[in-house]
Amino acid sequence: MKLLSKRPAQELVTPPDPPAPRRPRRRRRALLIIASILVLLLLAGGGYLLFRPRVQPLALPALPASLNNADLGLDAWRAYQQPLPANPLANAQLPGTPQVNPTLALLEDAAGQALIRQGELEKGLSYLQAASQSDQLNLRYSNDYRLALRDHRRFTEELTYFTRVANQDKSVNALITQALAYVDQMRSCPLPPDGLVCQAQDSWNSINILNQVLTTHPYNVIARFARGLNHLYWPSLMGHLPQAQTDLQYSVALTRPLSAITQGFTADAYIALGDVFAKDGKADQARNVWLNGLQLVPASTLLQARLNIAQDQLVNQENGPLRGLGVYVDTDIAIFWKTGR
Amino acid sequence: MEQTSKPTSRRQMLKYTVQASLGLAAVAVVGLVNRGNWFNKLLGASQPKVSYPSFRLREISRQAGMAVTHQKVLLDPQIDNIMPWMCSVGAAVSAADYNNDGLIDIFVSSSGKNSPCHLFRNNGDGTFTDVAVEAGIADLNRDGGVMDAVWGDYDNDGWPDLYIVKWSAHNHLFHNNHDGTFTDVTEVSGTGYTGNGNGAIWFDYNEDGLLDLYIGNYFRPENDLWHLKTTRIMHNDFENARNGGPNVLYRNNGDGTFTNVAPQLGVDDTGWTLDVSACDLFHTGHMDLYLANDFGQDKIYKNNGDGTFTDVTAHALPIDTRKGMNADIADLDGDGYPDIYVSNITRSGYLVEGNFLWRNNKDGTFTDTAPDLGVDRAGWSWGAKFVDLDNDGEMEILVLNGFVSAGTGDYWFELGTMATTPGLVIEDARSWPPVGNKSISGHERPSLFVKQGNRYIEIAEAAGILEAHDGRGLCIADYDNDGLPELFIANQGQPFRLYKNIPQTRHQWIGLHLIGAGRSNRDAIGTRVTLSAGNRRQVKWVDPGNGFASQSDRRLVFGLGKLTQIDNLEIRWPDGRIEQLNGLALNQYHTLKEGAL
Repeated sequence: MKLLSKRPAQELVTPPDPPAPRRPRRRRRALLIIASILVLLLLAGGGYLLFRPRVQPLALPALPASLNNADLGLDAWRAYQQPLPANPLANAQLPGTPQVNPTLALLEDAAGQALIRQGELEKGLSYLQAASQSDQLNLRYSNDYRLALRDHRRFTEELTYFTRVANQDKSVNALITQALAYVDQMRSCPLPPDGLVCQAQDSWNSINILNQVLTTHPYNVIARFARGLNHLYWPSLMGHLPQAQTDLQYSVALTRPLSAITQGFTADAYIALGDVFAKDGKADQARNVWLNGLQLVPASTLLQARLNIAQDQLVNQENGPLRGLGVYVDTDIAIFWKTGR
Repeated sequence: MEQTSKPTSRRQMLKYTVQASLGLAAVAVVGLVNRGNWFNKLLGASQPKVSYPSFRLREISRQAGMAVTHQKVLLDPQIDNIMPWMCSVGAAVSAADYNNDGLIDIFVSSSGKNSPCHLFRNNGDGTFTDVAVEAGIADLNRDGGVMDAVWGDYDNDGWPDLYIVKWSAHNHLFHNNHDGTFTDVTEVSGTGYTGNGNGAIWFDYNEDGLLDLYIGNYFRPENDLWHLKTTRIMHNDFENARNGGPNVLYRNNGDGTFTNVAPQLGVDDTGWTLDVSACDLFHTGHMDLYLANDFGQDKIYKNNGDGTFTDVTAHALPIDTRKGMNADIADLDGDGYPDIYVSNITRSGYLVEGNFLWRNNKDGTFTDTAPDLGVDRAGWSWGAKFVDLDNDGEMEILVLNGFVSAGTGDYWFELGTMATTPGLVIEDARSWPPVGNKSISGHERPSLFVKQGNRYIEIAEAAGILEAHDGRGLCIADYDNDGLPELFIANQGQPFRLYKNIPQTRHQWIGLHLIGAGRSNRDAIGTRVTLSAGNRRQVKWVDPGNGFASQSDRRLVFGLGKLTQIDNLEIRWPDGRIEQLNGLALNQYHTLKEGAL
């Protein structure tokens, strides 16, 4: 009241509205258009900021420049890529009973698979075994035989056979195959949450064998990836995620030299490395890894599927459908030489 | 009032543009920041809270005169490295009206050397008096350690007798002298099995009207845990151990003596049994056995009705490699076939086994419905019971959790590493990494699951259970006869707790105290009661002492919600006699004697 009483009376009188400035209509329209464009630009900018994929380069281990296919464990990749003979069962060269003969191995491998497809499991397995025995260093034959045993739940037979081979042969490839047989053996345990200790002991055995391999052959991409996936499978509080991260970072780094052979593994490597971060609750980092992978393999539906998972669902993947317990590791290592994936 | 549109000035135009830009920027910022979904969560938080049956549980052990603390065993120092693990059981609690004054009394164990057990006589005014010394059942820990206690009228004289299960010293059978005291009849009765048991129940397996006794054993009997000759005493596998102590079935000979018939009947299971339960699981009128086994497959023995059993586990249950701790039995859906709740271990990040809720499929098989119903995740679970806390006719599930509460360190990593390392002789206690002062799933609060819609939600904290002790035995008993069950909780090495039940809404109820006659045992254990009211049916059985280290009030209480009358009550006594009743008054207990209805 005091303040008001000090104000001069004439200031309380509202002055009349000044006449509206007259402006040409054209100018007003131009202003409106500019304003609309500005708004649209802002909208577009905001949308881009919101939705643009942000891809940060990955921190990957440095690899020696001199790395060759033998270092990757794939010196025989050309043999692995050889096409299987067509109609193997009609092939006159196919022996009536399986023979351990390197020159027949490819044919017997094809025949074994064909026999299993037509329901003759035992006979098919015997041909596959013969092919594997013909060239025990050949990852392709051992892979085909091992997967056939695995897919028919002959886990004990599988592990016994490849353990015997590894004990006899001691080669890197035989050890890797034995390690993979241990991973397959995990499927013989009860489904989690039952059977966790059983599975973990198999995984532990697999990791131990792969440790031996990687001590002398640190750039063997199959061993790296297999060990990384083993570590990734464990419950996170058991502390295996850092090792999984290291192995799978190596795996991703090794996709570059491997690309001379195949790109079929690239998406798998990036997916697995991203899964390490997802399992650790680091959804942003997981997505960044997958986006990196997508840049290299834009057609990968698997990577795209990972990226389509909602951010909040990526957290706590301990028991989730990505790498949760009971989501078995696929030990088919043909991804390291197959083309056209 | 006339609205006139004024031409937009350049200044105004710029102002609008800036405002629009700011708005957009704000939306963008919110969008970017909301990648963690906090905004939605914030909105969610302000939504109205869910409604569910509401209880108030008030801890009153001190006021009730039950402020005692369980003392743990201390075993042979050769196994000091894992002593916290080894001395992690023994806190037990059992209810019965031992002096027949119409009020439920409570036995509470202690296990430490020379530490006294307690018999809390109910004074009828909300307080209890420990009369264990006068009764002659206080001094039970001179040798070995008490692990469980179970009341049962083995001689049908109308007075509850008491069986005590111990580690590394003979068990005890105390006969009730009808004057507030007990006489130790262990020797004359032949029930002094010396083993390392954790649980026992009274039930009449051969339907001769006499209560028999089944004892679940843990460590092998040759191992005196106070004077070890070897440290190879542990389970030999974490998922399929079968090297535990054989279980015992004492057949009541009717002359005050008992005979162990477990081997000849094939029920001398060597799993690591932590709890034994019995009920008519297959609707045959006979009581079957469910064994909650640690480190491996639980067992179901079907009663053939001719005094023999058949192990039907492989058919009845899926593979179970979990850590069975407790089994309680109730019919959740009123179909007359009992369902089973089994405690296991849940430790996020290490071992998420989850508790089972075995739904009875009525075809001799069971299916675990715990994950679907939301009652699987609790903790390192022990005693667990079905209980209708507010008498609305719907069972809640209360689960005690917590293994070893000690320091901030966590033994789980060592445990996990040991369990998963092939070739390690885990049977040898000395192979185990030292526990030290580390906790093992310690400081875990109980879980109280209440039904909401088609699932359960956990409300322990909201209900007033705030303490995180290492719970073991859980006894449900109505000590003040108001029809509302109270919770008596035996905590391992920690204070005993009594929670008074104060539900938000009082509902109608009816209580039954059943007395068997003829060829039925007098305690009427195994009697099936089917209550029909409104459009609802409830089925309950008189309990033989189911649940880890505990025995609940044997009387049956049916919650009726808002119903004001029951339509029918059918009682099937253990000898097969069926009696029908109706017109019983609500909100009180009725003593019903077989053949006198």
